[in-house]
Amino acid sequence: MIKMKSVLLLLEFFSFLAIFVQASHALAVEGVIFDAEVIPGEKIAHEMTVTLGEGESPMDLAVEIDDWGQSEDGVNLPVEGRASPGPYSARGFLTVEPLRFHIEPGGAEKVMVKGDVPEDVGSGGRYALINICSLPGKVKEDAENSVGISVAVSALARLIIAGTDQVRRGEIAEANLSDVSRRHQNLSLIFENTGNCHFKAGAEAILMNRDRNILGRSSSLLSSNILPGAKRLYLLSLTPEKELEPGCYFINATINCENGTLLASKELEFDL
Amino acid sequence: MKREAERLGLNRIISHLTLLLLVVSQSGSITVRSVSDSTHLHAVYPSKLELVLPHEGDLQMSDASSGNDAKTSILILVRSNIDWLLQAKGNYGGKMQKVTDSGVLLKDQMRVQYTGESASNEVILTNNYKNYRRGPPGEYQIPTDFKQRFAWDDQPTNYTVRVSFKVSPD
Repeated sequence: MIKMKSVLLLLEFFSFLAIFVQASHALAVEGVIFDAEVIPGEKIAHEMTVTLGEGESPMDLAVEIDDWGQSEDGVNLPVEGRASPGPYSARGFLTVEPLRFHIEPGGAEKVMVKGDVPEDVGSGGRYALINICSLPGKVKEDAENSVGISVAVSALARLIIAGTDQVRRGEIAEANLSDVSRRHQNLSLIFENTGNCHFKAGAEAILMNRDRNILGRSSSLLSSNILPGAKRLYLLSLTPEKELEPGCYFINATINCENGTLLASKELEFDL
Repeated sequence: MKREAERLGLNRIISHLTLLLLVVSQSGSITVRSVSDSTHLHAVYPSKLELVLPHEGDLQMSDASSGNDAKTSILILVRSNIDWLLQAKGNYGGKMQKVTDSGVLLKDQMRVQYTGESASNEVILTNNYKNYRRGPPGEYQIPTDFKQRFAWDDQPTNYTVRVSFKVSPD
């Protein structure tokens, strides 16, 4: 009986909490990732729902489709200043409606992304960023010394062309050692996706002596998706179990795809 | 009598569980949609990002004086069922004066800083988005300070700064 009372009290507490947790709500976008396998010549569509919380100020929003670029630390960025779509861009055959809309507190607006996949679209993946951002409001006359805040949500379109080769390959474009000492070595790798589709990858480094005995190893977490043509920076830190004696050492660096396939490797040599 | 009490207790448990399920289903993170012409249920897990910023939109900077930081604080909330990245940039809005001795615009001195547990370094905002915070799925409260250092010979009478936050899948 005591147990049942405890269970009841606990459930009452969580029920109470749950009601209050969901009360807060502001600009939200559902369907921010448009993942699809598409066929050349196919008509495609994806729906996103934009909602504004109760009690918020009404908002004017604009929607824009951009070429999707990535920085070396994996940040998704619009590619600016490019007139025609890039080789892996889906911008050329995607449209979005509406381009601008007004949303009232508690309201919801459907944003439709549509596309006619060209017959000659090619192979691999096609990508685009869909940016939904609030438009600046008019500066109030009495708004002296103020900070205006605007919000944006960036959605992703990742389209895989069905029936074509998905080439997952890449190369280590740069490998550098720094802070090399008997106790510690830092390795930075810049990997470039030279394939035609996105994938996740992880880096591993193995420290060896001249006799190829393993003295230490380090590995990174699996990265976020790397787009074709994009570069990704991996930082690895090696700490051998025992302090290294003077001599010649090797570091074997590898990049592995999320499915375990070896994508690239490089050997570096250093002397102490 | 004892059995009756146990039965009532069970009913209360069931009612609370139902309420919890109802709340979870309304939160939008997981939606189960039925397909009309099929007996199977088709589970849909829509990716969702939510960004909560102060209601009024405009915040007053206080304690502005030449050579000192003017500061204001806000609480940003991110809810997401995917890995997310929050970025920030500073925009030129309203009347703004150039810093007279260096020629740098005031907007370049706008900084944001996470002030919660394990407070982070300041991020200097420019016209391009700068990485601010990132995280795995979940709900995150991000207490944030805005700071701006002013340096002027002739005090501007009116300045407005616009800061944009963008959240995206990481």
